[in-house]
Amino acid sequence: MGLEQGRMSGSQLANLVIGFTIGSALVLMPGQAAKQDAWIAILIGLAEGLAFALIYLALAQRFPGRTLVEISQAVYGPFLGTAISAAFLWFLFHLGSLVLRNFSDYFTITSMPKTPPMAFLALIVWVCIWVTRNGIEVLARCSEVLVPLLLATVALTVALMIPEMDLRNLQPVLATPPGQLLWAAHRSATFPFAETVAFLMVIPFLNNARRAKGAVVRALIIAGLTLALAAARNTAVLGATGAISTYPSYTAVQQIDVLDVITRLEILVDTSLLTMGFIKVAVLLYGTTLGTAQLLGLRSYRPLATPIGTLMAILAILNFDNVAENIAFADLVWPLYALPFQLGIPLLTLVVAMVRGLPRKEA
Amino acid sequence: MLAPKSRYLACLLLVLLLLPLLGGCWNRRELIDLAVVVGIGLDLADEPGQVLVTAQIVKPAEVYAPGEGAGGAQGPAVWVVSSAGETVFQAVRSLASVSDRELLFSHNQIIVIGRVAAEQGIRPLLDFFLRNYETRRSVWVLVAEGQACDVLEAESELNPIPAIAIMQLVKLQATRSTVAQVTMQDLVARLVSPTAAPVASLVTVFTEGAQKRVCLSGTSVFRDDRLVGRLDETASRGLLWVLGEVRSGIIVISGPGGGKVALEIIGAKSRVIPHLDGGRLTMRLDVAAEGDLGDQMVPKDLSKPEQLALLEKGMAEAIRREIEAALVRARQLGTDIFDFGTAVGRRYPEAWKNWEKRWPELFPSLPVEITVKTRLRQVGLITKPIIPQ
Repeated sequence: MGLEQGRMSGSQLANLVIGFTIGSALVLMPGQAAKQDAWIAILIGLAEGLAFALIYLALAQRFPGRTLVEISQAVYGPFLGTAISAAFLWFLFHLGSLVLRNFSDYFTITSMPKTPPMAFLALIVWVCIWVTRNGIEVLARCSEVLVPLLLATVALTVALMIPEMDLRNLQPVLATPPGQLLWAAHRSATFPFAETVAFLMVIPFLNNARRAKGAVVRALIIAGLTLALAAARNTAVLGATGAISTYPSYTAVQQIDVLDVITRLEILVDTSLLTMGFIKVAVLLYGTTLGTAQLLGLRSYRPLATPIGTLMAILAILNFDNVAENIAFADLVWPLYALPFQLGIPLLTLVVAMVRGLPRKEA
Repeated sequence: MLAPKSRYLACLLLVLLLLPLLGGCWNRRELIDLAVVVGIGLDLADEPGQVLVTAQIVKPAEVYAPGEGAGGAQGPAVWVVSSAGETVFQAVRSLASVSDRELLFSHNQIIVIGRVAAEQGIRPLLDFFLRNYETRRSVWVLVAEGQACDVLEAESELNPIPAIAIMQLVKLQATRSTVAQVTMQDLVARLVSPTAAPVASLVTVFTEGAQKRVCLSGTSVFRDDRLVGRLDETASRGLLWVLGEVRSGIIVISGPGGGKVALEIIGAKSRVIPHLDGGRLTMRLDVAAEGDLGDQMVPKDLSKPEQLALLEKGMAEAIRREIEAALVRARQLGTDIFDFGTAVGRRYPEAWKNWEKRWPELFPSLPVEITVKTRLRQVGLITKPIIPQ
């Protein structure tokens, strides 16, 4: 008997992946380094992310019903398996704290500069802990409600921004030097697309394992197109001024002004971060909690949610002294730091499993 | 364990108790503790190196109770207050030494920059307004012929809040299209471009009896971020033709026999097409305008196809003259107010890399081919002028 009794459908998984991928990316906007080609960088990044995702899916398919922690126990044996699982769980935990940090930074900068970050962190982590304790099924159902609403919101803002758009801002197309474009693309692959590696802790709970591939691939494409659309929207509205913005989507949505009546819609960006950030942190907290329980051989993962969530919020504060450190980390460290976890562990595990002929057919 | 019903009630009570918290309580700012800023002026202070920030603050009681004051003497329902500082933000915060309410900038409508301050460069002055979370990029930016603080002290006959009157005045310029209407976002878009020259509405203070009034007159022009000159109303419209921002306005041309005919512009479109031919760059400019016959002071029936065709030709010539006036002025000042540079960069990204640095030298001698197409559509409720039938 596994630790998680809940099951979810393919479309619930798809919604979860969409929400997770859009997560904080809609606010932080990947691909910015490619300037007006940001939307192209995102699409190339999506292709790279999809290639990674196929590895995750192949691995999950090979070991149906098993999380990465259980898989690495089987593939590497108890000693090495534990080490690799621990490293992977660290990645989920650390990523969760980074998202939380983005979350508190955003609300501090845009609306509540004097509120202590812990006030935001405590509230969001509290909800994430609660949903983790209730199991993957509850989270999956949350995403079923929140994600369609978010997609509708993005569509609405794009429609309302049409009068503010100047499509010439997207020209010249593909004038970015190839190196710069590919680096921007790679960065958008590592944030957010390949972060879906976290779903190696979630896919096993699909009620129909064969649906995993379709659901994840479809969800990544929808999320990628949404982000590319948002990037094109921001560029068309802001032009080169987007380059100096901390949160281009926020600034772009601020420009909406329909007859002086429909204005100040940036609250929609706030809610998108609130809801999608919740899904992302919740998936990561869930993955860390469940994985830790499996690693330690506990009978239940639920008691771990509160301590791990609390530590995640504390790490969010300890991560960086200031926003400049955060930007430098995201620019230079993350695109390389994430690779061993996003590509290294899954690929190595898959290759070793294939070489060792695992899982062995019993009976 | 509580019974299901009391459990339900307990939950309901909890939710109701939590409800008041949704409004938040951290650093709450009550309306009666706030001063709503509707206009900001930026000047250089008397002390060298200091900025003078002037804020126009609404006095709510006087906006909503007109004529109820003792004696009925009506002043503007605002308070204008200034403070100096070494940076804009310091000056803004220093306003707290004279204002007993905390300033709220979310409803600011206009930012006026004084001429002398604008000549020193506006980039440093604007940083605060982008960085701060209360201020918005939809605010209108104007350059004052004199001091910005004088503009904010001027009154409006029709609106108790002068800054809102100026905001409305800027918006109304769409009916004349002789003043560039510029928001912070427009201005910043040009300030982050390596070659485009910023422009802004030009506002002038004049006295009428004992009262100060403002009028909008033309467009101020920057080189990089420094104010270098102005466009008169003709050249301003010339600029707006090129940018495709002419919404409406009146064009007066000579009718048959020398009397004047006024044509109302209904709409216009423009296309700027850079053209590279054997290393020689020219700009092709296509303007298409539509108009109606607005009034005629010529005692002759102009509602005939051949007459209208003549008027259309006259309109096209007038538009061309306006565009040429803007071109001449831009070349004199050596500033790319038309943002031709960006158009060239989009069309010829490779060649642009060489031109970008030399653009200030290249721009004044850049040949521009102007094509104007005009169409007159309506003649109004009378077809013939008031002449004996």
